[in-house]
Amino acid sequence: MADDIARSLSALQTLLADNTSQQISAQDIRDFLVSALGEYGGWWHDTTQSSQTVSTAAKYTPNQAITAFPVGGNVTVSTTGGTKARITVGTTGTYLLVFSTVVANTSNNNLLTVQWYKGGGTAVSPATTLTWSAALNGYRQNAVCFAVAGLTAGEYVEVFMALASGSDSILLGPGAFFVLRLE
Amino acid sequence: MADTVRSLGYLVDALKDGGPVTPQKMRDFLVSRFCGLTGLTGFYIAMTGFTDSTVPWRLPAGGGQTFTAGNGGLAMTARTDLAPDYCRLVAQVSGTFALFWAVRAKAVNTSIFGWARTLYLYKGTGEGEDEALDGLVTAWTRMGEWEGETSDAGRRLVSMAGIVQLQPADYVTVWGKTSQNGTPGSGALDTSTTSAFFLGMRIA
Repeated sequence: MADDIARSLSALQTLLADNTSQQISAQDIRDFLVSALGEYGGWWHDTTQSSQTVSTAAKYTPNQAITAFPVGGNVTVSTTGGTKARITVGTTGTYLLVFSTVVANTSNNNLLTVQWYKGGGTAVSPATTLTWSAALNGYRQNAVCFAVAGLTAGEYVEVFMALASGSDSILLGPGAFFVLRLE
Repeated sequence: MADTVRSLGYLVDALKDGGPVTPQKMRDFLVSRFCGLTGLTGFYIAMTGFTDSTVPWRLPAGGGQTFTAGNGGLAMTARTDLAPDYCRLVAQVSGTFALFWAVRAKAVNTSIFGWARTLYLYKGTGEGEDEALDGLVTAWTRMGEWEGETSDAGRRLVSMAGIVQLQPADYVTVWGKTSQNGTPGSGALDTSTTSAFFLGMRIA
């Protein structure tokens, strides 16, 4: 039995177009099955992170251990690329992107942006932003973002963060990042 | 025979080469795919937190409303044998679930420097287990590491999401604990006059 393959909707529609001469094979149905039953994967980390310097150059780099969530379908997770939390999709489709993380900053009145990026350089909207006023100096704050993005097979996504200006010491709390294919 | 939510492994085997693909198998496939959402919403929590790490804050029972339930997957249940009563999402089928929760809360008794309130997403197995046992932290978030802010202005949103694999009777819930530099201790988490949600979605 061949490997079951998660396929795009258009590919499945072509495979399942007609069965008048029994063109639809059991393999086609199994491909439909794994295509419909979920592609997902991501990362989480709960170890208190060491502080790191962040500037206007976007990056999100947990510097302590991170753990992979369960992975399904053609999604793979890896620690390549410096961000330590890369998620690569193997099927072209539309994906729900979710992250929730905790960040502390050591100074006030700067704007920290946390955002999904795909392919290493393309920002995925929307972004979430945090500021620390005098009353909130150093406090941990929760950054949460949901996004929907079209991704092509082989494309990867990562979470980046960047300050609006200058550089500062950032402390990452726990975080979770994952993708779910919607269609 | 009623249409049944099946696991991925079951369906792959049911649709193997040479086996008859019956209408029932296809209907099972259909309801398995369209598992939908089930969970909790609209928790208006009229309580003031937990008192120490041995009695963690949990999503209180009562006052919660469910989303429109999917056909299988997760069910909201209240656990009443551990005071105070609290709510959980209990798996009804084997599968992989995406979980989302958020609550607006504030730390109180923050005169002691460095006490953190940490909210965990916990997984447990079966009934009768002690709350501190079999807890698998899949994701957690933290608040109040340094604040002395005890007014309403100190309230903030905390949330987390994750992916977890569950067997029937496994449950997930959100717990809050207090610690100082990693050491469990006392200190309250105030979730009064606020709201929370916790939902799960079966994804495979």
